[in-house]
Amino acid sequence: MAEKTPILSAKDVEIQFSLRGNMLKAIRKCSLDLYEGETLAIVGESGSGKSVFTKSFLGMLDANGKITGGSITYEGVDISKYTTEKQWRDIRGKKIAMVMQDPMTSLNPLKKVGKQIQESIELHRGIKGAEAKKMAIDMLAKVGIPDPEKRYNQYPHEFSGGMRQRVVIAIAVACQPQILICDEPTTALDVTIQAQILDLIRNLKNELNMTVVYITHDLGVVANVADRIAVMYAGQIVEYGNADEIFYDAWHPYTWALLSALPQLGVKGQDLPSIEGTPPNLFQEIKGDAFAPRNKQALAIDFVKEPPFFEVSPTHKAKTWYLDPRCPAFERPENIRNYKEKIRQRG
Amino acid sequence: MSNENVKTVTAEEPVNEDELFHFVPYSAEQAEAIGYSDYSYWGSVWKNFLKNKVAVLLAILFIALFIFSFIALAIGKYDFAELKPDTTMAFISPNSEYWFGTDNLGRDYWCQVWYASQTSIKLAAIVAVGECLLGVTIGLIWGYVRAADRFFTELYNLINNIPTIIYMTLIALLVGRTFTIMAVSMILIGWLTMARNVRNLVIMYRDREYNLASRCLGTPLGRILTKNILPYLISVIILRLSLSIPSTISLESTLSYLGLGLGDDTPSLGILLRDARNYFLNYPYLLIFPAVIVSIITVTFYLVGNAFSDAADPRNHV
Amino acid sequence: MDMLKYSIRRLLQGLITVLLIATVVFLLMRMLPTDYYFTEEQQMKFTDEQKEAALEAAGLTDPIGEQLLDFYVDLVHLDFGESRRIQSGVAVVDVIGEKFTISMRMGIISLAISLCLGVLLGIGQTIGKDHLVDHIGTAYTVFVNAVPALVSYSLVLVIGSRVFGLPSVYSSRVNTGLSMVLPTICISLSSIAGYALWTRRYMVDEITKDYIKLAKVKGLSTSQIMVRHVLRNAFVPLAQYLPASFLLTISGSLLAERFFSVPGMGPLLTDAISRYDLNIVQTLVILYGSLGVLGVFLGDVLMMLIDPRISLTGKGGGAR
Repeated sequence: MAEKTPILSAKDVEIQFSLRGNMLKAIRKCSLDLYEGETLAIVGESGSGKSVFTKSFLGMLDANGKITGGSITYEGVDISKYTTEKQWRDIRGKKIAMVMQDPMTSLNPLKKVGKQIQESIELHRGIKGAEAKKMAIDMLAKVGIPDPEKRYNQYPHEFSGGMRQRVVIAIAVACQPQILICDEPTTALDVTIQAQILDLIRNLKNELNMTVVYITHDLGVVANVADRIAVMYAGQIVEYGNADEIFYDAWHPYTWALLSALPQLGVKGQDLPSIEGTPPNLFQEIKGDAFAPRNKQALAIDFVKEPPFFEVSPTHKAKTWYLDPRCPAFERPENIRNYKEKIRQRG
Repeated sequence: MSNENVKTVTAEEPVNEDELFHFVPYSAEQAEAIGYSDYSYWGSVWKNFLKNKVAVLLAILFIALFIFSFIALAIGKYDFAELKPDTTMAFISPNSEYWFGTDNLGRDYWCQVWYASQTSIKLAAIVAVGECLLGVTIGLIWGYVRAADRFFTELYNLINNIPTIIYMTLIALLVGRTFTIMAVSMILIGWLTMARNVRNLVIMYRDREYNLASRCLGTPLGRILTKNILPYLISVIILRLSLSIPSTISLESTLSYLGLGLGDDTPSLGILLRDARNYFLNYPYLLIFPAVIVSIITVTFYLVGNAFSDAADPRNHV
Repeated sequence: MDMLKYSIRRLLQGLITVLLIATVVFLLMRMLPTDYYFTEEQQMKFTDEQKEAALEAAGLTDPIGEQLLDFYVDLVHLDFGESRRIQSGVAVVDVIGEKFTISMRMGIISLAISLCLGVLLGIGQTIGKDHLVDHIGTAYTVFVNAVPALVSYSLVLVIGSRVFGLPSVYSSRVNTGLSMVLPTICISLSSIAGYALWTRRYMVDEITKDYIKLAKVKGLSTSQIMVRHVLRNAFVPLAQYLPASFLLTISGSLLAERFFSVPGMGPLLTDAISRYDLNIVQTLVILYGSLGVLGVFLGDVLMMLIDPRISLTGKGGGAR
């Protein structure tokens, strides 16, 4: 899906947090290109830095976090060098918008939902009063909320979780942003609602011609929506490629581990494989491949030298020594080997 | 075997990369290796507490002050028990004979101040411990035993809704004004806050799964309370314990000022402050000495209590 | 309609609470030896028979049940009786009324001052978190909360009278306004700290919430977020305590009034108890109890009016 030039390009981004006097390296030289109109999913376990990484596109890092290296180029400007809130405010909401994880807490409980959408419209579109209100009601209708005129005057606690997430989405897309970042948009919701929300985002993406970034730990969600997938581990992207390439021809052992843990692949009567061990301590310098200690077939070199990106195909790259010609023969986990058939069998 | 391998390769020797393309055995230990395996709760509490420089400094100052109060009484030129009013010697400013001067009745202020400090500290400490014991015990029962909830809630409401000053006045008038009565009556009223705090926490933790499991296994009530629930309360108990000291001293001084405090024969800092009220505009040293000492004591416990409860909160441990 | 029903229920509950308190205090007061009924002079002059006769005339020798019944009957007629020792023969309502006016005047001034300064300080502390203003505010809060009021009042008195030459005692005849300054400052000291502390706490609470992040992602500026979201929402929990603290403030401060010899409500209660002025004690307890109940009730109503999440059903009563 690599088309021409990316609309947003992060290069060797490094992000550090200071925590009670210690420096924590949350993102270690992480690069990512985002292309117009695509849906990219960033996958990884909690603490892998996927959320922090995307938050840096909006200048939304917590006060103790800082971009300490690399660049994020958007519309020809390196936004990672922004220092003032004022600079960020031109991007936030207007050009890049974000949907956060928990719809139960991301709305102001004391403000009418309609007003909260209207606030965004008035801020960025220079429209005020009745006209903005009308647009807010339109937005409510657009995200599938029935009886929007009545709903405009209600408070968040009168909405269900799924409905609130629709409101949050309405706020995010109210100003027709170019890029929509969805940070685990369905994690806090019922499974039955999840699909509806994903559908809604897909439809809005097509209608408003947005580029969508999903952040999730759920490969099931990814399989349904993503054009491209980037897998993150310990503050780095370790493998990326088109969705098919990641699902059917993964190379990084961490990607394997994630895939094997998919419940859809479980065999009746057998334990679902889990990834043993814990992610590395980001307070310490990481040497070699960060996943090596948890990899059951690690190479000696994994502990010494960080692997570069090897190209699998023009669109698919993986950061693992397994792709080095010198690597001895190895085995992929049994349960992802005939993955294609399994997926097909189960529909 | 595996460790050896790893060690040899992690040492920064110039190794030929090509030789490193072989598999190494998996070590579950290494996979679990996170940075803080040597974590100990009380160690962390202590370490965090020491980081609060102001609190540590004040704690040292307080201990020094407390020890010094004994030395001061020993080296003072006058003995508290032998002080006699002598109005001709009244209001002598501090000098080499009377280190803190004399009060309106011509008595040495040095030994009064230090004696009063000890009285105040003693009273506050006894009340704090008493409140804590009574409050925690009642709070545990109140929170854990459902049948008792109603009773204690009503009792709490009843006692709490009547102004404390009524109880204190009545006690002073009915029973008298001695050190013991004062301490007992303060404990009898002071346990309320502690008990309520404890009760609320106990209700939070009472029905966690592990307590359910304990109950099913037939663990006696006392053991569940002391082993499963009490540890969660430590941070709050310490906070209340240390905050009770400034509030006891404060209440004592107010009561003394109103004439409902200790008798005149056992001066506390509150009584000295009361006696000073009419004179300190002209003789400021009468105010300064007790005020400074009382402030050191109360501010210390206030800050140390807060610092310690912050340090005891596991969320503040790195 | 719901609101009315709810209010009536709550107020009735409150009435019962007040009655219960009054009864307990009534019984407690009867535990005092009747010796306190007489002035020192009477104590010496009166013979035992005379004392007995006086007590009997006042109904104090009746069985306790009967006394209690009389007390209730009087209450129903809103008859609070006369003062005996504080201002002999004057109706209790008048005694209290006069003192209440003095306390209330200072209380309202102090409330206005401390609400403004306290909330402002709290806002300043939140915005300048971990900076100078915050540290000053914290130091102030610690000082006021930790150091006994007697000490801080003494400090105010020394500075006020020595540096600014303000009167050191209250006077109802000369320079009343000026002589109110120091006691008013003293009453305000701790409430400023209280308002600042709560404002800061609630604001900091709000700031860390997710919806503030969403507001930021929307592109709102920090000041817009502060005004439109944080301050407004932080005010809600604060509002609940406003009526109660208002009523508490206007009903006088015991120590401050005694310290500056203000003839207000504060010392009245202890004086009345120690001088066996039963009618005054009982009336005061009923008054304080009612104000307390009313304060909590008004706080809840205020909360309900400004917080759409709280509905009338499900709440009410309980040990809160």
